[in-house]
Formats: sequence, structure tokens, C-alpha cells
Amino acid sequence: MLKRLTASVSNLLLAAGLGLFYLPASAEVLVVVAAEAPVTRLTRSDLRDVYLGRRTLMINGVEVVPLDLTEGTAVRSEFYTHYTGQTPAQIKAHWARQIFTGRGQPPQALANSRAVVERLVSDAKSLGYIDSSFLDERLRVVTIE
Amino acid sequence: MVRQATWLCAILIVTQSGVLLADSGLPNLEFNGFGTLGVVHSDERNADFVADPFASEGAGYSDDWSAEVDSRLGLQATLRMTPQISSVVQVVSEKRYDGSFAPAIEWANVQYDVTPDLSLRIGRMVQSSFMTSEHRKVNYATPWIRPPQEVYRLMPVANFDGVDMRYRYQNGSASNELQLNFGGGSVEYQTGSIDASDSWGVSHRTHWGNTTLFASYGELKVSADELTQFFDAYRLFGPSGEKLASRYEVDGKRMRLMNLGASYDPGTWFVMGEWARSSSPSLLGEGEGAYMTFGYRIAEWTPYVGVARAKVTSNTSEPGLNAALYPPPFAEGAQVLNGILNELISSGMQQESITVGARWDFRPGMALTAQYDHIDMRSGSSGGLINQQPEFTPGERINLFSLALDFVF
Repeated sequence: MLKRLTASVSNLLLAAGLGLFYLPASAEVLVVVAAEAPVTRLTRSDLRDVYLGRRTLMINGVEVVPLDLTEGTAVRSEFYTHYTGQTPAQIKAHWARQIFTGRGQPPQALANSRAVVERLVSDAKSLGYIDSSFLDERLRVVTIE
Repeated sequence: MVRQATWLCAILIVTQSGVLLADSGLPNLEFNGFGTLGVVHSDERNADFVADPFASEGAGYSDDWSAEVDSRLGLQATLRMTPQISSVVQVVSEKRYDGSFAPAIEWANVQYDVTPDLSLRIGRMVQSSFMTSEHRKVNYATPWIRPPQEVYRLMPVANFDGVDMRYRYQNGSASNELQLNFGGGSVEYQTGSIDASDSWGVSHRTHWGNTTLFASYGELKVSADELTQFFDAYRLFGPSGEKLASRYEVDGKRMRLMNLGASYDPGTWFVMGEWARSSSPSLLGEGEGAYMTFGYRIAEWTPYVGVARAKVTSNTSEPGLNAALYPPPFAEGAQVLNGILNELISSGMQQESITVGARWDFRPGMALTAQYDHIDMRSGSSGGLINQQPEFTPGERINLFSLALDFVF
């Protein structure tokens, strides 16, 4: 509840203060996989560690590959603010630390939710997040605990 | 060895890059860069403030406002050849000991991932002695304009040529990274060079929720060509000269460095701190340093404050040779040597500082930071200032004002 509140407050701040650079996040974001994918639930810390490249998550012996959205999209800002508690600028600094110390590159970024949906249905290893209006029967919503 | 490794990396990148951009799979080549455009003003006019102790000039004496203290540009190519093999080459251009901005190779290595969580590297890498030492040149990725010198100067953190191993593992909801390295390296400066050989280090990092814990320990064998000649001169003075030389000599002795760090970052604010201790049974002596930084995030603004302290815990003066025991030309020689020895052992960093700054993330991948530092040096300490003029008095207070534009791409 408190976290939810903090997230809403930071969204408000983002929306009010950064209208120019960060679009106000109004969309509801869902973490999704293909309907036949083995992932059904993830802890919040697993989700965060996978997206920040801190750990490789194996489910049934298969590596879960996170998909990102391109920088500057409202869904992306909402996802990172809500699930990692970090702003896009903090995520950028995080990846600068990873890239320039040889620890790897950020997840592959696709242009929009539609592109993420298409990738997920063709690749059961992938994990993505989308605007809830793009949810269809080929996908399964991952429960985040 | 690094030369071969660098060439290997370069050749791999050139030969592989032709086939790359056509398709999205492997091999895959990425180019990234980072940089800082910064200016610094120091109110101490008789010496230079520098971020890198081996730079030739800085702010204060050489320039009222210096753009050479923090400005730098780094370019990196990352090549992934197969799912297991990748290579990184990073070149950094910044103010050097010879006054130029000639680019130098900071990283050049080939990595083999034995498993997704265990990787081995060979080539040039950076020691993970401190919490942010591997990315200390990427100002965009750190809260300050430059890492607190009270800790980061304890050891002139430098890249090394050798091997390392990184292992990531989970421990409940904590993700951990263990790193081991072995190698050697050297740093050049205006009148000589410092070489490190047989150096090894181990570091461990844990991310647990909003908390990060860091610990490291390392040892290295240091040798400095200039100092060898200095101690050879001492040895000419018979047994008492021999005794002083073996007590303070640097060559062949091991220097140890230990560091503990922690940070807590729930998103809207953060606090981070480190404590480090270095020791060497030589004129490098023993020293300790610590800092703590607190920052608060308000939309794209991050104001921060920090305090830091460094002190020398070994003796900072030495009676040296008894000049009265030697005939005239030797007596003066003994006094000169004693003078230099005392200057060297008293030059360790002893100071307290307060830092106040604000960072503005005004657009993706770019940040503007303004920072004010007040440094209070203990008596006799010159706080790592270089180009000290005859009018310079150690042990004073200095104020710095810095402005920097940091970017990554």
C-alpha cells in the first residue's frame, strides 16, 4: 500500500515536473509472457534483478529473456518506476555502470507494446511488459508477488 | 601481455564487424561512449587541485578555472562473438602526466562465460578495489563530479593486465557477485613510473532489496624507479643508512588495501558510504579514509551532501641519519636525504571535507552537476595538491567550485 502510494506520488511528480521529457504515465502496465510459457509468477525482486541484468533466471532449465521498450515511452517509465522504484534516468545510470565495466548490455528494446506482443507469441523464452490494452488470449499475465 | 590481448581484441572487432550490421543475431557489435565537460575553480592560487594525481596541471595555480581536471571522453566497443565469448575495448582521453589528452586503453579483454553466472576474462581490466572504482571515470554513473578523494586516493586505482573471474549467485532474494583478479600494471607520471606486480584482489557485492553491501581486499607489490635511487643513496651511509633504507624502501614490499562499503537506495533518496584502509611497511605507510553521501531525488533534480575524512595512521616524521656523525660533504648529504624522506612520509593525505551539490538530469543520457567542496587539511598535509609553489602553505583550507556536463551514449 505504502509502495503503491510512493509510486503514485512519484508519478505525480514526474507528470508535473517532467512533462517535457517524461510523458505522464497513465497506462496500466502488465508483465506478460506467451500463454504456453512456463513462467506464471515472479517475485518483485526477481523481476527487478532480471531487468537490471543482476541475475540470469532459469525456469525449467530455460533462460528467461527480458524484453524492453524504447526509452522515452510512457509504458517504460511506468514499468521501471513501479517495479524497480527507479526513474528512467536512474536506469540509464545503472546501465552505464554495467556497460562500461564489461558487465553487459541492457535488454533488447522494441518500439511499442504491439511489437513486444508479437515477439512474445513467437518466443516462449521471452518476458515482457505491455500497456494493458494490448493484452490478448495468446498471452498470460505474470503474477508479481 | 596486454599488448597481445589488445591486438587480439582489435583484430577480432575489425574482422567480425564486416558481417555484423546485416542481421540482428551474433556476432553483435555495440558502440557506447561517455564523457564529461567540466570546469573547476580553486581558491588556492599557489598549488593545483587535480582529480587524477598523475595529471600535469589542474585548477588554482595553472588555471583560475580549469577545464582539464574533470573533462574526458571514453569510447567503447563491445563485441559478442558467440553466446559464450565477448570482448570489450575502451579507450579514454583525459589530461595526462605529460600534459596531453592522448587516448589510453582503459579496458581491453576477452571474456568467456563458462555458465551465465561464471565468467573468466583475460586482458586489461580495472581493479574493483572500491565500490565505484570500475566505473569511476563515468561521471554520469556516479552521484558526484568525482569520487571522494579521501578514499579513492588511498590507492592510485589503475587498470591492470591479467586475469579475473566473476561469479554471480543467489542467496534467497539477495543477488551476489564475487570477483577475483590477478595481474600487474603500471602508472606513468612526470618523472618516473610506479609499477605494480603480483597484485591480486577479491571483492564481493550483494544487492538485497534497496541495500548494496561491498567488501574488498587486495595486495600488490609496488616498485618505483625514482625511489630505488633514493634508497641506494641512503645505503652509502653504512649500517644506519642500510637500516633506514630497509625500513622505508618500497620495492619488493606488499601493499594491502581493505575496503567496506554500503548503500541504501529506496528510489526517492539514497545514502552511500565507504571506509578503506591501506598499509605498507614502507614510506607509503598506513592510512584510512571514509566518506558518506546523502542525496534526495525531486523529479529530475538530485541535491546531495557529503562528508569525508582521510588520515595517516603511521608516523609522519623520522629523525633519519644523525648528520653530526659524518664528515662535511656527507653530513650535508645526510641532511638532504632526511629532508626528502620526511617530506615523503608527511605528504600523505590528512583532511576533512564537506561536499554540497546538485545534479540535474535534464534529458535522457545527460546530466548537469554543480558541486562545492570545502577541504580542511590537517597541519603539514598538502591534500594531494600538485605544482606546489614556494608560497604554498600546507595545512590550509581550500574551496572548490565545479560544474560538469556528463553524458553517455
